[in-house]
Amino acid sequence: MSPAKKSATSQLIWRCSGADSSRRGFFPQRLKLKPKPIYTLPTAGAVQASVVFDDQSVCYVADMSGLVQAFVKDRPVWQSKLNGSLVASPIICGKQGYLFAATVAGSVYAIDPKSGQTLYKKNIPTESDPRILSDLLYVEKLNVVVLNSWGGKFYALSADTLEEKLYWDAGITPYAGASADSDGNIYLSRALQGRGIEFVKISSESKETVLSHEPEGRRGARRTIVSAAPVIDDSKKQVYFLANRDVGSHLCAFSTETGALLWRLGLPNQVQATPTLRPDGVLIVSDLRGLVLGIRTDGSLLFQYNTNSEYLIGGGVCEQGGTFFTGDPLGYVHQISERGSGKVFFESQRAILARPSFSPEGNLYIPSTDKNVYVFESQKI
Amino acid sequence: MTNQINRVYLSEKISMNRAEEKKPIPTCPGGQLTRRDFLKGAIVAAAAMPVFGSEVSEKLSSSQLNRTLRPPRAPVGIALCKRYDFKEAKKTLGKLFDQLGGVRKLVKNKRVTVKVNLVNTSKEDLNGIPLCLTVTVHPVVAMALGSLLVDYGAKEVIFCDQLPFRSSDEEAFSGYGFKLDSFNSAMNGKAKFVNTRNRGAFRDYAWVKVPNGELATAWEVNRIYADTDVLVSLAKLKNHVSAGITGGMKNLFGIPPSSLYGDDLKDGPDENAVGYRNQTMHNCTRKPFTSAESFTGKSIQGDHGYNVPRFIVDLAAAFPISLVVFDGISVIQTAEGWWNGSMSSVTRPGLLIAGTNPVCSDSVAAAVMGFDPNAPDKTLPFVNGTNHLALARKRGLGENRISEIEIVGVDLSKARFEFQPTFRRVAL
Repeated sequence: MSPAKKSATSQLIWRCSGADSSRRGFFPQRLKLKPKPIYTLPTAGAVQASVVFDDQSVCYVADMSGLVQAFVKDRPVWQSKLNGSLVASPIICGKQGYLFAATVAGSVYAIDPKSGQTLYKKNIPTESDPRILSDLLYVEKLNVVVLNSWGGKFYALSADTLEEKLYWDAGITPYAGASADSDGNIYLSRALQGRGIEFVKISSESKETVLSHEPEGRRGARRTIVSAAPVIDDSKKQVYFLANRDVGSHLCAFSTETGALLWRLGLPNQVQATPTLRPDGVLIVSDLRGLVLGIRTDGSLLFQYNTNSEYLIGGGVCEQGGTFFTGDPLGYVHQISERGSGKVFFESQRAILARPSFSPEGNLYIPSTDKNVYVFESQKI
Repeated sequence: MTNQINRVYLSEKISMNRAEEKKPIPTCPGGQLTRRDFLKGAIVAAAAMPVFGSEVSEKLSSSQLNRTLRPPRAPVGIALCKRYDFKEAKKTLGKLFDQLGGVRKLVKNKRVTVKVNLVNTSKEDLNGIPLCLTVTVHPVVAMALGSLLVDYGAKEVIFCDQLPFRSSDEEAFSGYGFKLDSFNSAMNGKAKFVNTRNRGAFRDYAWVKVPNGELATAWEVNRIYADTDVLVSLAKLKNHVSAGITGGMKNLFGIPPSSLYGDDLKDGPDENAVGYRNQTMHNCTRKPFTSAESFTGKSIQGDHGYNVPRFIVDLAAAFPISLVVFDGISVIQTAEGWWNGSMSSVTRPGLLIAGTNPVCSDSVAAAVMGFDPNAPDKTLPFVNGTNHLALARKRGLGENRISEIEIVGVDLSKARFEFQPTFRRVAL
């Protein structure tokens, strides 16, 4: 298989939250979704993590009761109970193709995706707060799983054994997941007491460079949520970084080649969700006042869509045609067109707090806190 | 019938712990309480703390023993409610009250005091999200509750909390989204807001005795909490760093007024005080400036996880709650307030919970959050100290073992919405 074809095929398989290590949340085929779920996947707890897939179209669902389940379509294959709630989205990765999951109790598991058996378990050290909340990342070049812990560090663990390979300072509010470009450079953000918010590049040789430093606001870094993961546009060699401020936030675009700041845009509200990058380069940001903003590649505003929800937490995904899908805390799933007009096309019984996913077939998986994952069948167009 | 089991009034001047001043003597509804009686009561209560549960003493009376073995219990109702819509919240609460039974009778022709869970400022937010969606009770839930109570025949519904503002009561509440005009239009003019940070419009304070108080033998408070027929605790569903979870009982922490218990007091009471109660009821580095000695001195300086749960139970024992309602629609998780920084975050259980026994209600709330309400001390969710729900059961206030509590409405397995746990305090 040619590298291009391999890449196209691999983009269809969402092994982690946001599709792949770029976190862009983009499915590279035009889709039209049917308005009613074809089936639901029942869970034991509220689902706050994205659903992930392997190349056999097996899907893996992690929930807040600590249960991880594997399904083939709507048929349960196995389930495994871990030692705490799962907020961080799991990942299928590595040479062995293990499923990795991390809990609020501070444990990382390497699980056999065929049987659900735990192969390795590692407890991340902490004095106070064991939570692992960041979506897991795989860096192929280093064969490591990267995660962020309230213990205060980003860890890179061997995807074969969970052995610790590298770590970096994660600051004082380590919600945010990391992202990686195709060269194996890792991008992360962190809040530092007395210094503010830093946006950092870790090269594949483990050299750390601070690309941006947002000064500490009046409220201090400990009041600044650092939650959205950076989003990478490998084709344009750009990375997008969101920094919250006391009021509002800044969206910044950097060159992944030079590290130079390309533009910066002030946004009216703070942001918790990782943005989505459309194929035309438009970045879609869901904010903490319920607005979905479409931002062009030059940093200008393309559209603003009001979900009428008080806030948005989970972010969204889009397909090749530019249609964006996101759930809100009122339980509504919004479908927003390329131009920013939207409609509600489904209502879940309780809040939707996680980012949706596409299966390799293009079906949309919406995790809900009503203890179901809703699956919407798509037609390729 | 009034809710005055433990009520003690101040009626005449005596000299108490502030030697130069003449202070009123505590009295109780059934007759005057002399200073000697009062102090004796305080000493006896402090010295004779009962030992319950696994350490049941042979010295316990048969009635105490019976109470220990069979703590009071009452059904707790759970309902899904997605949004802060007045009609939806009122309908949902009304259905819950019907399932619980007895709420109409409880409030008919009664003066109802609703202690609302607001906090020590209205001028903050959590990551840009308003406090009413995270930390404090949303005004829509309060208004829906008030409107229902008026429909049930309540004579008057008084919403209270201690708010750190010297402005008028109406203005102080408005910062939290509580607009008196809107409340009165939904409640046939029967709503009232009272800021209980001091004695307010009353000439003096009320003393309320704590049966078997461990850290406090009595509370000196704004009379609004004593001169009522029915006390309702309107709480927010959330974690609490020191107490594990907040709830109907923890909500009572806002009753002791700043004017006597506040951090901004220097060397005596001050009706202008607006401070929190960190020094007196969390850190316990000093006693309050009440008109009589009412703390036993058995607190542990600096140990919030020891002091806070015990004060919660001492408050719940003194102020019998007739009805607890939880706003669990949109809430903070991991901690109780914006002051814990970005350790905490917003989440959305979409629930309303209600019950007539505060221990049962708080225990069901803990279970809904994914925690064991009977968990041992120093384990989740009580990682920083004592399980106050178990302590309340041992004090005979109610049942905290989930298998012993009847749940009506949505069943627990469906309602459960796991919260991210709180963090363990690290000694610096």
